[in-house]
Amino acid sequence: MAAARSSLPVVHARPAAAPLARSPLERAGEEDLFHDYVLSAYAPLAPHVGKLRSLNLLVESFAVAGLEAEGLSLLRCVREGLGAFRTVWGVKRVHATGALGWELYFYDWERAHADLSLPRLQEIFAPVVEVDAREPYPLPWHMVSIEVSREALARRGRVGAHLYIDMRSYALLGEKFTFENVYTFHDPRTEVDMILHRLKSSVHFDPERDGVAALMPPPLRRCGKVCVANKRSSDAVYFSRIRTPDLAWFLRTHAWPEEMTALVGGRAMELDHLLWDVGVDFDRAGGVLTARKTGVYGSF
Amino acid sequence: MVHAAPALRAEPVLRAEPWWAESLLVTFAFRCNLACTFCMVEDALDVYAGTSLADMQRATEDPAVLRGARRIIFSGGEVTLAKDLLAYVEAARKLPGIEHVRLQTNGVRLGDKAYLRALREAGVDELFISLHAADAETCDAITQRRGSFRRILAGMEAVVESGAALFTNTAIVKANYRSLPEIVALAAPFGPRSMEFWNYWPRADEEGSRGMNARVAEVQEPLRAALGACVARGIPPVVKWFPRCLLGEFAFCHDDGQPPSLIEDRYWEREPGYGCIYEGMCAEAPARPGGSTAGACVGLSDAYVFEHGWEEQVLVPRRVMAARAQGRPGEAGGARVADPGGVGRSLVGDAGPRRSEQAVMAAFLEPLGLQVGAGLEGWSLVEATRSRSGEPGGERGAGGAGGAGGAGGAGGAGGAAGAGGMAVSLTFAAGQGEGRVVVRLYAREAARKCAVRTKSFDVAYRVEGEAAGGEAAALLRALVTQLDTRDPGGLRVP
Ligand code: SF4
Repeated sequence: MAAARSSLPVVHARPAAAPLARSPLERAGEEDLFHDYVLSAYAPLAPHVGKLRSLNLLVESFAVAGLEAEGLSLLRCVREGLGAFRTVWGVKRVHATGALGWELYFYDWERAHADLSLPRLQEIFAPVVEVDAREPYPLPWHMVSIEVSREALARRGRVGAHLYIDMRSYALLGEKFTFENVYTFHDPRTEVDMILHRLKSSVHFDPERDGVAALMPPPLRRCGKVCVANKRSSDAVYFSRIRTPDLAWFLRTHAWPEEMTALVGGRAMELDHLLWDVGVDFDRAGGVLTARKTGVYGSF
Repeated sequence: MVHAAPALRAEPVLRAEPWWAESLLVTFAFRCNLACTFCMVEDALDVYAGTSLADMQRATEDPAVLRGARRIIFSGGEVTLAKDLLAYVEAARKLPGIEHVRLQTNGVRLGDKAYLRALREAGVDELFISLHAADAETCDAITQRRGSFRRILAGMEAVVESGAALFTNTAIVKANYRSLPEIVALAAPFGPRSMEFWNYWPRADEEGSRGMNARVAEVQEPLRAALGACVARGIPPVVKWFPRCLLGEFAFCHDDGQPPSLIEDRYWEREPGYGCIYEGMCAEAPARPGGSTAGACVGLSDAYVFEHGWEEQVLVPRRVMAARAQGRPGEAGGARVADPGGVGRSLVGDAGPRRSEQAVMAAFLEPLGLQVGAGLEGWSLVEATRSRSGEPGGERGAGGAGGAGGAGGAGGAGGAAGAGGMAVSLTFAAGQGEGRVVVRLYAREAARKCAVRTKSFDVAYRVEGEAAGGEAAALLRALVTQLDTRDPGGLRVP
């Protein structure tokens, strides 16, 4: 007997819901620049003037966490301190608790550190959070990030920094370094053997039970670059340069707050010029391959 | 069920004509009298109006639409439900260059010989009939209409009698894949011009939630047996949307091509995605993402991958030379993926030279016209270091005599107080003497007390040891003048 015909969901076209954030949506201008999460520039996929900036999703996440004003002042400080289109933003969601957290990433590929240094970031962040991280001697980092939890953002808390040197990262609190992650980057088309090797050799992946598709589903495999990371208590895979419908799928699949999912899904036409980056931290602590934390990245 | 593949005939195998390449498909009548469980256009049924006759005529006035097509194919929905089908057929026959008019149909109305005769007289000469099972029970279960099997066979028989060309099409799904060779045995006596086997095409089933996809590793054997049976009977077979690498000696009959179509734009919104995890390295895959699929293997549908995975252990890519793979940078959305700063996968080769403190300071001093070792008013800049003010040890390197406590500490006039942050200490030594002048530059901050301000810095100093007041003052005057002149504003303490 063949399977019964399944009924399809009825889809009604609805106007996009109003965002939770009360600040006006930011729209792209003629001069906007577009960067992926390694601050590499890309040409927008469609005419962009007047369409939404990726930053709106970040602002919506602040609003979802009840910290729109604090979040906006963080963005203002960074823009005033460093200028526009130099910063990568990330929003993370911890699946067990639903907690949102944020991270801003500052790249200096020349490693010249001419106008980007930890003291400079301390100054920039000072009105919002206290960055307690001191480079004890000059290090050849190409990126430094500042991670801000809900608590730190709400109460001007003390935070450290993360330094990225070569393909490794270290947490830096005060002058104390703690080794964190190792990253490798791969072309998803031509370096698939390496990706499969990296994923299958993860201690959190059981090739006998887990399918690679669980970590690299079709909407994400069509990305521009895959990064596999080994972390302290999980491993992670990142997908750079996915399109807006694939981001909508990602947010829906990983049960992100409805307001954020609606912003991307409901306004896809106004975001069709953008590429996004996403990441999944996974383990199989409960005997099942599980996404523990997911993240979305854009730039401003 | 184990199927023995029939021995291949010794003479060259007749390949099916790539009909799609010389056809224009016109879709209309999104209605159906069956309800196949895997229906490819289920979401469109009773929703899309299809192409009106007037739209078809208007569109085909453009030579670019016909593009040398020799065949018009009418598809739906079920085309035979359209009352004005004959008018479409007659209009198609009048189009320049059109030699054939084909219907893609479930065949159940074709047993009505008068109706079939009318179609033939209007100009239909090819019938492409869906046949999804070799027995009534399976067929009726798939179509969800009792008696459909009997009516389809009656339709096929009538087509043969009418002298029209018969083609069959079988969707490969969980419900029927084991009986593919039996379907060939059933259809062969009708003398089809070709038999096509289309792996489940999951339109509107993006994540495979209907559970229709049969595992390709399990389909492989019965499908190859069916293809062998076709070849043995002189029937050219065609396979679509099944991994070419799993077809073995029958890879030649794999063809994922589809004709250009006249159809509502909305239709394409739920066009299923296809891909293969090995597509960047397999010679059978399209040459680039989004590139032409003509002659290429498109891999597995997204729905399949959601249901069963990438099958990376099962597929056997025909690996291209590394040069081809390397010559094609990753692309997404038409944007080349650059690799700034050499983000390769190296764990050891990417860091670049470690910056020395001297290099950092030299870069800082250069726009200010200063250089360690260079002289100014009989003094020499002997050391330039950076330190954090207001911290124990923060004075380290500022000449050694200042001790802890920030820039405003010991010695002469002009100390700074009131704020932290990084500072640059410049230590000047005079000729032979013991005296030193330590000048500190801080990022500007209104609250800070200091001796003087330039556009970028708060400047403080102290005089240590035996330095004569007048000589120190001359140095400081010259230095402040130089800083003031050279500082364009916006400089940062490194
Ligand atoms: S490896 Fe993939 S692209 Fe190559 S033939 Fe097999 S399914 Fe097609």
